[in-house]
Amino acid sequence: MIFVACLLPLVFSEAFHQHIFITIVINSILAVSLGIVVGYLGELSLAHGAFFGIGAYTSALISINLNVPFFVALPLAVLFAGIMGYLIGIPALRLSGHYFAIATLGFQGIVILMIINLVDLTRGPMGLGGIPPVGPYHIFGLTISFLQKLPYYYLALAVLLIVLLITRNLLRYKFGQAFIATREDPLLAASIGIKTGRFRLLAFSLSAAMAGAAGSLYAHYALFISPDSFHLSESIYIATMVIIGGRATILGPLIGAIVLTAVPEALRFAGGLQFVLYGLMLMVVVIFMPKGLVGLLDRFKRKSRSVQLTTLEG
Amino acid sequence: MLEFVPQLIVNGIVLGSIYVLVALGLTLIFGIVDVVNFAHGEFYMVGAFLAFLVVNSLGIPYLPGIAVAALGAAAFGFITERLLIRPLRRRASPPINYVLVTVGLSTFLTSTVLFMVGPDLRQIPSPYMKQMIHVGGVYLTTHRLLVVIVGAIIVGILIYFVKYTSLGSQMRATAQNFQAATIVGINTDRVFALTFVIGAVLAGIAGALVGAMFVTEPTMGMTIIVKAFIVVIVGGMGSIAGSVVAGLGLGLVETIAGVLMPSEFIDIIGFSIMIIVLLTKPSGIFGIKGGQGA
Repeated sequence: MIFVACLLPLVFSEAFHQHIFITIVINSILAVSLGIVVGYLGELSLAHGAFFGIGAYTSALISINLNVPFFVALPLAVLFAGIMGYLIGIPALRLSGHYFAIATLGFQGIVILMIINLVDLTRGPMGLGGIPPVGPYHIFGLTISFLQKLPYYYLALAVLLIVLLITRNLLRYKFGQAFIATREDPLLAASIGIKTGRFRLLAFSLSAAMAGAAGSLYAHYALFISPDSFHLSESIYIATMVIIGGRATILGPLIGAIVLTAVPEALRFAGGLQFVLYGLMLMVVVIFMPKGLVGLLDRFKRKSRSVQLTTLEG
Repeated sequence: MLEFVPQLIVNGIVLGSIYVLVALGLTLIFGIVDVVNFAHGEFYMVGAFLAFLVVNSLGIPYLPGIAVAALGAAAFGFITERLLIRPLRRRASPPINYVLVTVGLSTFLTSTVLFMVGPDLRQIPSPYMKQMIHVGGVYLTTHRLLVVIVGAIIVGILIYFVKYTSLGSQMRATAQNFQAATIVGINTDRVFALTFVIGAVLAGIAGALVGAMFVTEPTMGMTIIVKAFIVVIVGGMGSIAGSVVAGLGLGLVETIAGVLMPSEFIDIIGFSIMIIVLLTKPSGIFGIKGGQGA
């Protein structure tokens, strides 16, 4: 799969296609990180667009004002988004269900209003331009400029791989077991000594930090950011990727991100009807595929397996 | 400064009446059907556009225009419950799927209207916008008075309906205990459909009122739904009295805050109040449901 991901932009070498690939990778980071909250805490956060924005603005402002390179700005953006996630998580995670979702919607609103209104710092609704690009770097006589799409794609892909590795390991080892136990039965989990509150907070902050990484990547790719990209609609869009893909797996958010980035692009032929079809598709998917695309895949697998079994018995 | 206070209070009540109308539907749908309806703002937007259409294109007077908007919104509410909510409920879907399906509906309705009429700002022609009333130091258009009167009448009818009619007590029973309500023979399907219709009608009327006072545009639903969430949370999900008090309160707070600080900061106040209420009393000031409800 990694191999395919590496080869894709070489096969489709048009700039427009490469742009879509980069967008898919950034969206995948967002979806996989939100997937930690949705899948393993069982909560729907509507503040992910805000963390994405916090990462983007932190990274952009640090590199503009302090003149530091991208590879310093990125970790700082991750750190700051993580801290914000921690601070917002402390109050928000005292709630659950609908209440958690709406509380995060409130924080999303506050963050975006802060970005819009701190005009001196963020230049408000006008947007922030002049973000320095990554590189160019000279290594072994080679000049790599991340202004070009292909190198940037690999850069983003590398970050995505790190995010995937962290998420997978998180869930595979003791941590992950604790997460799942906490989701399935918080009371029982607490009774066997799992500090559920601490795990929920850790997962939420980690998820926010990863969204911060996506934000940093986005800022240094687009070179211009404005509050419009980080509104509630962005949060809802990311949440949609996770749910459409199918929850509680890493694969689900990944598939959701790919599909929900590619589909609107593919629907461009419809012109003004693009989002009409998109909305329609959302409703149809929920009604007919309640477990998301991954659920569909599972059903297909199970069917083929049962076919195998019957042939064996026969 | 002080002489503006009565004017501010009146303006706040007008704004608050709109919040109440939209939030009431949202809170009823939450309390009874247990669905957070992200498409609620779009019922409001559809109401405004229906009124605009019949008043502007067909030349129907404004007041019957509101009635047409209400009827149209009722149809939208009914269809939504039948086509989207009922199939999910039959399958006992997780709450997250209701969020997704209503988000899909919201996107669908907003972009359909955007596709059909474009993003221009429109205003429903209301004859009452030109008539001024002057009482004491307070100036207001007849239209603003109409907003408050219509709001008050509707809240009155709704409270009477929910408290004193058979269908109303069926609604309350379903809200309290869905299974018990089914056992005693209440047609809960009908109750859910009715709740959606009522919610949509209230939002549609609010839209038709606002569309003449401010502007009618395809994305107007997105702005109002956030306010409605604040009102519903502060008032308590499922509580009619809570929505009325919190809605009027938010209208007043926002109007008064508008004088004291730059207008961009006003929305932060609403969100902050909401979060404080969520943390201290998640069931809201008049709430019945607990904070742990899924």
